[in-house]
Amino acid sequence: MARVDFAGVAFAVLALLTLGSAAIVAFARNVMHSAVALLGTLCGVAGLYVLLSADFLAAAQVLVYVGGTLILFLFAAMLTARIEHAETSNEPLATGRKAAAFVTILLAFALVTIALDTIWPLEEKTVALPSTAKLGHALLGAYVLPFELASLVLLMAMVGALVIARRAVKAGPTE
Amino acid sequence: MRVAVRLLALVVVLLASSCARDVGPQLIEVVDLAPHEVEAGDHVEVLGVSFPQGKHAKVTFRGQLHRPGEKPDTAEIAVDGDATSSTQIAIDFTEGIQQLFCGVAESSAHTTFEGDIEVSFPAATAGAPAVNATLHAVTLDVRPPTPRRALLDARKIEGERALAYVGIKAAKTSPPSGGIVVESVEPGSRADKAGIQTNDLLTSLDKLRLTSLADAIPSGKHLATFTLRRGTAPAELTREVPIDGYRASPPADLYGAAILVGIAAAVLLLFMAPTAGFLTWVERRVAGRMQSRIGPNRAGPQGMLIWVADGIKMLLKEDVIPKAGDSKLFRLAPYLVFTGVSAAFVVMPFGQYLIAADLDVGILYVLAVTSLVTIGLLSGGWASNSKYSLLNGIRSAAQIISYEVPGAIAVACIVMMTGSLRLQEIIHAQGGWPWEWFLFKNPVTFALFCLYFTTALAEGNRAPFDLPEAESELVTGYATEYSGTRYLFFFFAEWANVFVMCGIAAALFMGGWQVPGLSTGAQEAHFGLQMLGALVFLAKAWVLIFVVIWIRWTWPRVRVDQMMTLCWKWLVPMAFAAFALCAGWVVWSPGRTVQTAIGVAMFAVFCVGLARFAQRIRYNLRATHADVRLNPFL
Repeated sequence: MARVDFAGVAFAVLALLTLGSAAIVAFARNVMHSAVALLGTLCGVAGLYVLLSADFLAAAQVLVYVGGTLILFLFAAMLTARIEHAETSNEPLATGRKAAAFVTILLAFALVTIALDTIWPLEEKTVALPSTAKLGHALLGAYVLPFELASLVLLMAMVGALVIARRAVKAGPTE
Repeated sequence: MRVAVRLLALVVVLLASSCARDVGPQLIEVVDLAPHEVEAGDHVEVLGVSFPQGKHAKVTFRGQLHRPGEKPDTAEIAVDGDATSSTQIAIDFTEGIQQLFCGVAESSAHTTFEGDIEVSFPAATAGAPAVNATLHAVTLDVRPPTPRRALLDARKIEGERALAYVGIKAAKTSPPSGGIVVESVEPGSRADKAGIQTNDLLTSLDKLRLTSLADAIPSGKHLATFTLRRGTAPAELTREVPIDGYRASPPADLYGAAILVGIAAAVLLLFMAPTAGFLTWVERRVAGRMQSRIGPNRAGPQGMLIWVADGIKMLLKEDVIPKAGDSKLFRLAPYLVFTGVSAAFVVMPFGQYLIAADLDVGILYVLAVTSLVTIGLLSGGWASNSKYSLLNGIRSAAQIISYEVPGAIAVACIVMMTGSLRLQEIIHAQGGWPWEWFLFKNPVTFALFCLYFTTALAEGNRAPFDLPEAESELVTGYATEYSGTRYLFFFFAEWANVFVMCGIAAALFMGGWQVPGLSTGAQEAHFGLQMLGALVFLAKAWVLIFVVIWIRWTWPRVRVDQMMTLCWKWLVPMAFAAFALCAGWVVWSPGRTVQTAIGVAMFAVFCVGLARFAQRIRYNLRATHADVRLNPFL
C-alpha cells in the first residue's frame, strides 16, 4: 500500500480553510458574512492544533472563540443600527486607502521576516500524547502565579465593564 | 540472581566492617543498592558498611532520569530511610517517591535512573559534622503506575514504529528478564549497518532499560544508542544507530483514524436519524396523553412510523428562500446546526467499546461543538430578514451565552471529582448501582444534576426555555421563513440534541453503561454483557428524555426577564457555591463506607420522595374524578 502522508493532506486542507475564510473575513462587503467566515478561520486553527497534538488547546479554542467571542460578534452586529442594507454593510473607505495599504505591507513584511528568521524548535518528544493533564499540572504548578494573575485581570475587567454599564443605565432616563 | 548479589554484598560488607574497625574513625561506606528494579510498594535497601543502627538516614539520588522519547532529565531526589542494621538502610518506596522518578499521572513513564547515591546521617551531637558517603554509577529502574490502556497502546505503536524505522522487527514476546528480542533485521537498513543481528537481545535504548515495545522510543534526535546481548556472551555490546529524519508521528495514525471516523460517522448518522425521528413520535404521543388527546396513531403500529411519513412530506415541500434575505447564510444555517449536534455523537459513550472516539478532552469537546448550533440559529435568524427571526436570534444568543456559564461550572465540578475530561473515565468513577452514581453521591452532586439539566434544557431551546421558538409569540422564531428540508434539518437537530443532552447527563451523573452488580471487568469479558450495558445506557437516556418531554407539556414558558433572572441571580451563584462545596468534598474525600452510606441515604430519600409524589398524584386523580386513561396505547 502506498503510504499517503495523511498529516500533510490534512494540513493542506486546514491551511486552505483557515486562509480562505480569513480572506472572506477581510474582503467581504457584508459584515455578517465576515463574522460567519471567521468561524472557518477559528475552526481551521483548531484543526491545526489537533495536528500538533494539542488536543486541549483545540477544544478550548472552539469553546472560547466560537462559543463565546464569535457569538458576541454576531450579537453585536445584529444590534448595530448603522446596517441599513442586508447586502452591503461594509462600504470600503474612500479615504485612507493608501495609509491602509502601507500599514498592511509593513505588517506583512514584519511577519514574514520574523517567520523566516526564527528557528522553530521541533518538539523533543516523539510520542503524541494527550496534553490536558500536563497543562493542568503546569498551570497549577510552575505557572500558578501568572495563571492566578491572569484570572485577577479578567475579574478586574469584568468588574470594570459592570461599572461602566451601570453608569450608562443610570444616566439613561435623565437624557 | 538477586540472592547471589545480596550474599556477595554481605560478604563484602562483613569483610569491610572487620577491616573498618581497625582504622579508627567511624566512616561509613556505601556498597550497593538492591533491588535494581522497583515499583511503588517495594522496599529498597542500601547496602553498606558501619551504618549507625536505628538512625534516620537521608538518601539522595543525584543523576539522570531516562524516559522513553524524552531528553534525559537531571534530577536530585532525596528520600528518607532508616538504618535497620549496620549494613542496611531500608527505604519504603512509596507512590510519592515513584512520582518523583516517573513523573505524575498521564506524563508518568518507565524511568531508568543513572547516577550517584549519597547516604548521609545527621550529626549525632551538635557541632559534629554529618556523616556521609557516596556511591557512583548506580542504576535504578523504576516502573510507573500501570498506565491507561490507550496510552500504553499508543506508546507500543510508537515503539514499534521507531524500531521499524531503523529496520528492526521485534519479537512479540519478550523474555521474563526484560529486553526485546530481535526477530529479524532488514538487510541494508540502519540497524543492519550498525551491526545489530537477528536474535540479539536489546537490553537498553539511550540508557533506558527495555522491558517492552513501549520503551523502545529513542530520546535523541540523531543517534539511538542500543546495548545488547548476543548469544550467551556475558558482556553487553553497544551499538549506535543513526536516526536522522525520524520524528514524531501525528496523533495516532491519521490514515486509519480517518477511515474509522468515516465509518463511525456513517453509523452514528444512521443511529441519529431514527432516534430523532422516533423521539418526535414519543413526544407527540406523550403530549397527547398529557392533554387528554390521542396523538398520531395512524401510520404504522400505534402511529410509530409517523416520522417517516413526516420526513417524506417535508422532502416533497417547496423550498422557499426569502428574496430580501441573505441567501448564502440562509442556506448555510441549517448545516451549522446539524453539524454541531451530530458532532457531539462522536464522544457519546454507548458502551465500553461502543464509542466512536474516546477523546481525552471528551466533555470539553461536547461543550465546544454544540456552540456551533448557536451560530447556526443566529445566522439563520439574521438571514431570514424578518423581525421575528431576528428577535429569536438575539434571544437565543443571549440565552445560550448566559446558561453556558452555570452549565460549564456543573460539568467542571464532575470533572474535578473524577480528575478526567474523558467520558469513559467519568463513567468508571461511578458504579452500576444508583447509590454509586454521581447523582446520589452527595446532596451537592444532586443539585449539580438539577443545575446541569436546567441549563441543558435552556441551551437546547426546550420548554420552559423555548423562547427562541415561542410558537405563540414569535411564530416559531428562527424557523419562520424556513420550509421543506431546511426546516426539517433544524428540527431534526433539535430532537437529536435532546438525545445528546440526556445521553451526556446519563454518562456524567447516572453511571453510563454500567450494569448494576457487575464489575466493569466482568462486563468487558462478555459480548452479551457489553450489549446489555449499551441497553442500560439507552434506557437511562430515554428516562431522562421522558422527563424532558414531561416538563415541556406541563410547564408554561418563562418570560425573557425571568429567564435572565433565573440564570444570573440564582443559577450562577448556586453553581459557584456548588463548586466550592465540591472542592471541599474532594479535599475531605470520605472513606468507602461513609461514601456508600451517604449514597444509600440519598437514594432512599429520593425513592421516598418519588413514592410520595406518586401517592399525591393518585390522590389528586381520585379527588378530581378526572376521566384519565393511564393506558398509553389507544
